[in-house]
Amino acid sequence: MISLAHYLVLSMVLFGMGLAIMAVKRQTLGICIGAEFIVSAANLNLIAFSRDGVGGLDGQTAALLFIVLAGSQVLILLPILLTCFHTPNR
Amino acid sequence: MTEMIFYSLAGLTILSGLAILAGRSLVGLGCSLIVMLTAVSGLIFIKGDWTAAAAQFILLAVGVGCFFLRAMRRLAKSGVKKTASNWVSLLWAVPLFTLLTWGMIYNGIFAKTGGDWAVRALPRAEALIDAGVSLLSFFIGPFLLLGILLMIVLLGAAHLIDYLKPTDIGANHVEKKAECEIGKGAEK
Repeated sequence: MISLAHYLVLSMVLFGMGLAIMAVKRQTLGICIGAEFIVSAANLNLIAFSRDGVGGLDGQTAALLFIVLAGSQVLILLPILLTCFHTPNR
Repeated sequence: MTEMIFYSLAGLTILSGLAILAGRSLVGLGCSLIVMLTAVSGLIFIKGDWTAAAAQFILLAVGVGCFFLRAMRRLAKSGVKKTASNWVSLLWAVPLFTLLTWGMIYNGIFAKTGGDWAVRALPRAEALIDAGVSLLSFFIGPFLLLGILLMIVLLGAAHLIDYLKPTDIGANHVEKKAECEIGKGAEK
């Protein structure tokens, strides 16, 4: 049976990886990807706590909002970065 | 069964993180990010939150996937060489999608027979109604802020499209570079 502890350990690993990626990668793109890892770890935590009866339904709703937030962050940041990197001198 | 799927998805998530840490190519980074996001949506799905899993999968994995496919096309047009490592990294997606599809089939079969995971994963109408009520009452502030943010994102995307129109980043970039070099040569 998968318990809350499994999800907590996994989100801890994800959070650590996100931090490591942000520290190791010097490109802005790498830092964005690291931030995605950290947001995913937070979402996993919220949903795990919510489903195991600690936080009720609030955790799931907050996770939904965070997912939309992270999605908009990625979808607006990545095109801007790629535009900056690949547009010829104007 | 649930344990096996959980450990497989967790392993995929960690492996994609390691691939991002070790990899250098843009395509590899993008593919690993997509794998990580899809695996996390699978993990949320196993936990039983269908709404968040669907949002994570559709918004992040599909959105980022479409974006990276477009970026790859542009890079291919602008003359970046296709290396074997770039395309081998696409194979990451195969085991993940197999796992997810198989998980869905398992859920579909065992939902009616009362399997442990299937019952937990089934969406209940009451839970969805509660989520909607919670979103429009306690979370009304963040909900409105998010709406405004998404509007800004849409406006920014529209502005970017307008900004990119005059110069097509692609074959023209290479042609312009060649023209500049020819011009420099003529000046000399």
